[in-house]
Amino acid sequence: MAAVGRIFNIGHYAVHDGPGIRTTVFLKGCPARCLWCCSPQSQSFEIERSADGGKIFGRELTAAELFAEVRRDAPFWRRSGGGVTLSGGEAMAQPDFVMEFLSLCRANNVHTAIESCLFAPYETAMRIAELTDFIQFDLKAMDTELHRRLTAKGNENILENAAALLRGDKPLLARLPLIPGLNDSEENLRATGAFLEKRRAGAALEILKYHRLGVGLYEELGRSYPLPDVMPPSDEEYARAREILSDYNIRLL
Amino acid sequence: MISEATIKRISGMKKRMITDCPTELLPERALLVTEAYERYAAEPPVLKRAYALRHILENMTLFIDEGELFVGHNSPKPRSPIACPELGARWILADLDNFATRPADAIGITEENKKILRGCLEGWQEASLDSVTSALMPAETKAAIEEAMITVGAQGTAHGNIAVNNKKLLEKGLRGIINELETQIASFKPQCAADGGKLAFWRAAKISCEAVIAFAHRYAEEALRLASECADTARAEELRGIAATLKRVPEFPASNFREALQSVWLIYVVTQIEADPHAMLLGRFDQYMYPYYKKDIEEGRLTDEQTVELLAHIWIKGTAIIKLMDSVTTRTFAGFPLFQNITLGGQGARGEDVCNELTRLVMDAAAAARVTQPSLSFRYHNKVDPDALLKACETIKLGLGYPAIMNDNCIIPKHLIRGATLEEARGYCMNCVESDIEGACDSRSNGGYVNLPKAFLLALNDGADPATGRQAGPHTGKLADFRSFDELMKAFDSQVAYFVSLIVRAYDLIDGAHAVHAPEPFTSALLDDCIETGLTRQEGGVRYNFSGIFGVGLASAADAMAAVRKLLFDDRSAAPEALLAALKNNFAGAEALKELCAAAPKFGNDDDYADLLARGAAHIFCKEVVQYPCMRGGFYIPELHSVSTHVYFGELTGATPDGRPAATPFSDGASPVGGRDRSGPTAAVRSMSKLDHMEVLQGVLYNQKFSPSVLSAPNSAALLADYIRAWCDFGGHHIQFNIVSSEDLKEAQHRPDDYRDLIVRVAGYSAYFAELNRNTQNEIIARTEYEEMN
Repeated sequence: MAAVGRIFNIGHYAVHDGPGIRTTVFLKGCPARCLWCCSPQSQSFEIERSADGGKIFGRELTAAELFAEVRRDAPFWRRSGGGVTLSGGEAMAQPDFVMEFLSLCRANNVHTAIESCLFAPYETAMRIAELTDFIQFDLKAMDTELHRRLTAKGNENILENAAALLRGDKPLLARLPLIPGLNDSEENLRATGAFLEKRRAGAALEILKYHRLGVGLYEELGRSYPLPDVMPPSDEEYARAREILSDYNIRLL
Repeated sequence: MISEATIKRISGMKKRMITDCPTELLPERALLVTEAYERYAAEPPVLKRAYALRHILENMTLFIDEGELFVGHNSPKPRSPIACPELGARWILADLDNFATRPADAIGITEENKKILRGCLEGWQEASLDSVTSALMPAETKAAIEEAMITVGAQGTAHGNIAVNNKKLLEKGLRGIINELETQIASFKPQCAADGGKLAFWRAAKISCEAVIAFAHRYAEEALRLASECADTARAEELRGIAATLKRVPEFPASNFREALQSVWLIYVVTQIEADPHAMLLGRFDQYMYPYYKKDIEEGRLTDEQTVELLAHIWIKGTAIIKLMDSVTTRTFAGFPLFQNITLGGQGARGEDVCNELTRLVMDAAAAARVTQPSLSFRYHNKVDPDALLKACETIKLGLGYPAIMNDNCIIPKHLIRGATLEEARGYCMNCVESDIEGACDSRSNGGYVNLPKAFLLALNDGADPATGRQAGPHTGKLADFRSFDELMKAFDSQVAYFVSLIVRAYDLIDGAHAVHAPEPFTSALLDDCIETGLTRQEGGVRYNFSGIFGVGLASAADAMAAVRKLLFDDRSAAPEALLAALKNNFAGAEALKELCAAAPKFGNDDDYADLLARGAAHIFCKEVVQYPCMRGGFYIPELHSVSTHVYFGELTGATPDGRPAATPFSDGASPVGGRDRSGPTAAVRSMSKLDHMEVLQGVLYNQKFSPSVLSAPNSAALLADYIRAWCDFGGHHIQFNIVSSEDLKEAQHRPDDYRDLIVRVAGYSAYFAELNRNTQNEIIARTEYEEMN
């Protein structure tokens, strides 16, 4: 029984989403609603139209169809040690489709990566992780109430999944989107560093600077941008965050 | 690794010789050549040309910039083109009032000099090469040129497309070549009337070589004169060093790197003075220069920093040379291109990789100079030194538009097909996307250009231009009568065959005129087999001879074919009459049909529907071209490359069925139509790879533009190297990258003065964006902007 998935884009020659030259598949639909989300068209699980009706966001296809489509990039993967990255939306929110796709990749010796917020039932997250070669996950806020205010979801199962992955031996990259005034308090930064250090000494963490490149997309969808007044972190704010996190036994990217 | 002092010297030269130097046409060479032709009126053309070269070299104003470490320039000042009345008196005269005011590549000239030149040129009107070729040109060819169906090259100008044998020059010196000529003359026994011509060529070549040695000595005296007047003792010492070098080379073999560089450069300059050709190639520079570099380094006479400084001069001095082109040609060859090219890396005689320290230093020098010429071509092959490839990618990232990547895996077999030995084939060097063999191949990629999209328009309309109704091609049937798309493609085939045959007929005649009226005895003496055969290169003296014909607008033609196939034959969603009417009216009142046209499959998206039509159209063009022998021996070879002729043809062609409005540019090279390859760079590469690059014997141009953001990842040069490896796995002939954002380019249009330094890759060459005309600028902006998220 072929699982059908919903995606909204495929990026070719992606060079920031894992090792080598990658093909990044953006799955449609996300359980969270991060205030800084730069791809609002990724949030709804439904296929949407732009406000003027001119653009359609999202299409359906089977895992086998997706594999056939992305596999055309195989010569570039082979030459660069690249592969496929599943991004979103939230890849773990379409588990049957994603697992079938990842299994196809594994059967064909294609390197896979996933970019996830890990908001998924423990069993699901572990099964998907098992099929994936490289996992990038977000730690947006360590306090669950803060996390709920920023993303509309608590972080209990996220931290449970993250902790389990960190204790394992899978290559991982944790990522912290740095949003001035929202999650860049010293308290949150220290909690993040401590969480990582405790579960995996030397764990890799990348600090992602908040950006406002998604503003135009909100307009296209006829929605208002949730953070009209927040600006990207200054060089000083970014340096301060790095300095605080450098107190921990983790590897900052 | 490059010191402040070096950067200061280079940037000072760049300012004086390029950026702050206005272009100016001076009459000196035209007057000198006229005097010589009058004095030697009784001599055959080959000797007239030798005496003219000698007269110029004995009398021309010598230019030495205060920063130069080796010398030689083609005219009295930088960016001052020379006029060749013996080749182009008619067109220069006709264009004299346009040079300063034309939109692209304007060249200043004073009223006084205009008067002098006019007086000089008027005396040449019945004697110049262009008066001869104009009289020979068949009426059908002239009509097809008028209809913007074809262009035909070299009617009143010389062309290079050759690399002289610099290795031999450096090992033997001009004295060694003179000895060879004397041996030929002494031992030759003429046996027929034509043999008299051989003796004339050898004598002419000897006169030329002696004249070049004397020219070097003149330059040496000038350097000594400047030294005696120079208050700066360090500079005076440099000038005396330059003089000492010129006393030895190019007469004698080079004994060190500086002598080798001076020798190669002076010879290059003289070939420009002899006939003002474009595409005189510097060949495999990192190979023939390497022994001199290595010896100097080992013996402590040279450092890498000095090497980079010396090499950077080549870019300043190269960009300071401008060729005079007519005003139509400046639209098809925008941006003062001279198509100088240096080839780097590649395979040696036994297939080994030959990248060396000089390969890397040449790229450092180009990066330090940051000017347009010469272009660099880096040869890729399976055993390429990964560090050298990485260095090439880092240089690409600087956004100079070079090096272009050439694929040995595709190009070496092409030379085998063209008749070279394996060792010769492995030694190929580059034009822009055309390959040659140093000293041994005259590939003449200047036969003419075919407007492929318009050939398809004629096929739709029984040989008549849908926009004007004029019968521009043969009758090949009415659209409504074609029962299948294949029948339409047969009509296209017949149209292409007709226009290719017109170019061949005209170019053979032009080639013949060059052989009689425009031989180049000096350049020929530096090419293999010319001395042995006693024939100039214009007479076919070089070992391998070809003439190139270019197919222009392949992707535009393929997109037009895909739309017609879909709308008229597969979906039957439009009627033939409606389409022809819409094309005639530039889609006015036919917006719905235009949308259907625009929505049809487009080349460049890994969609066989359009991609295989591109392959089919390319094959039709190639098979027509290769069947013709060319006048100098050898045969015609096809090329999918347009320089900027795709802009020129596009401006003169009506609406096309792909939804393209009238008078807008066609696709560039063999690349997809700008902005229509929307499935990412990897899909565009797969589409490009469906073309049969091997059968396009002269070359296929593929231009990909990346924004800097794509190359911002820390390991982006390594990823680009892997991307190039994958492209070469696909069998591509060539790929080059433009690394600029369209925002940058738009800004540059608004504030050209702030962006004078901005270099873009136009086609097979790089140019200053600010010097391009508006249409070419717009076309470059429109080329697909690859973002990571596309």
